[in-house]
Amino acid sequence: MSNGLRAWLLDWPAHPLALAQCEVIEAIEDPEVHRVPTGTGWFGAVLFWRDQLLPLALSHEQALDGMTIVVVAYQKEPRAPLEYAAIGVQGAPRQFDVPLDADCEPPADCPLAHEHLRAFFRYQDRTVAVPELQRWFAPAAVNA
Amino acid sequence: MSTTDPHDSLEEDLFAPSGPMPDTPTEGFVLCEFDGVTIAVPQSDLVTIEHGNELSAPLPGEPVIGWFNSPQGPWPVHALDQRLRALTEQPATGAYLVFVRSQPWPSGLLCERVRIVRASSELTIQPLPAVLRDPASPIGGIARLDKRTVAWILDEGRLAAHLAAVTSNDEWNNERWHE
Repeated sequence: MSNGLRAWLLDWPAHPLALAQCEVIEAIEDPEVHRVPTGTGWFGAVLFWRDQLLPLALSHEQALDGMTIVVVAYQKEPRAPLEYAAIGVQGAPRQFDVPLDADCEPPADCPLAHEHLRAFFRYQDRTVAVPELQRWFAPAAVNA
Repeated sequence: MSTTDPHDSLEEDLFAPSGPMPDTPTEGFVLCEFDGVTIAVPQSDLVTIEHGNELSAPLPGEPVIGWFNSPQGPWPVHALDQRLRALTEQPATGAYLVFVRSQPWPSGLLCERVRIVRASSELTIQPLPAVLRDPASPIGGIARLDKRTVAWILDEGRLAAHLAAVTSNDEWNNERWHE
């Protein structure tokens, strides 16, 4: 049973992510990606997109082959201008109906900090994370 | 965005100076290529560029890949991989040595290709997105060289500081050189 809410499901390597429809802007077929030599953790690359340089959540351990680069948008606060970033995922994003009453605890192996997440829920026998994009892509000093 | 392609004009006006360059700061960059990565080092950091085929071998435990015999004495030479980590052995592909100012003597970086960008205006430099900025990293920005190639911009003094950091820490001394 769904709650009538449609969202995007992204097969992020660690576990699936759910993003609101307004947060997913574009899936890039031929992305111009550059790995940052000294990048650490999930922020190991940048994407040139429409003359903008975006941070790309793609670790050095992830191969680019078979990955889809998805541009996402968020606001730092209500009515603030849109900020853009990118996430490397497996396959194409797909829309789905968010299930009702399926909230669950975060999995023990979740690589994202709790403050970067809004919620978790179960969907098709998998735990799906709902990231808080403005915190995930904020500088570490802001998150600290 | 700049329309100047630094590939077009830089090959022939490169070096090699026979000795240290005049002590005149310039506003351009030295593009240093190694292991599939290009870094842009401020020309004001540059001491000299030399050919890299005549290095003296290091003694066991020395955190260098070799020593360059300059007229002023031996200068240390280092090599980095594509993640700017220090290599413990001289790679087969390096042909040029880029020496930058450091104390007590210049520090050298082994490179496969070296090009000069005479004016910083030839590069369109963008700062790294805030989430990617790391005070411990020497990289402060990025500049597109062509559709598939970028140079990672190092601020003044950062290459020498980075070479010193990655060749003097405990990990280097304890895990790499004493294996």
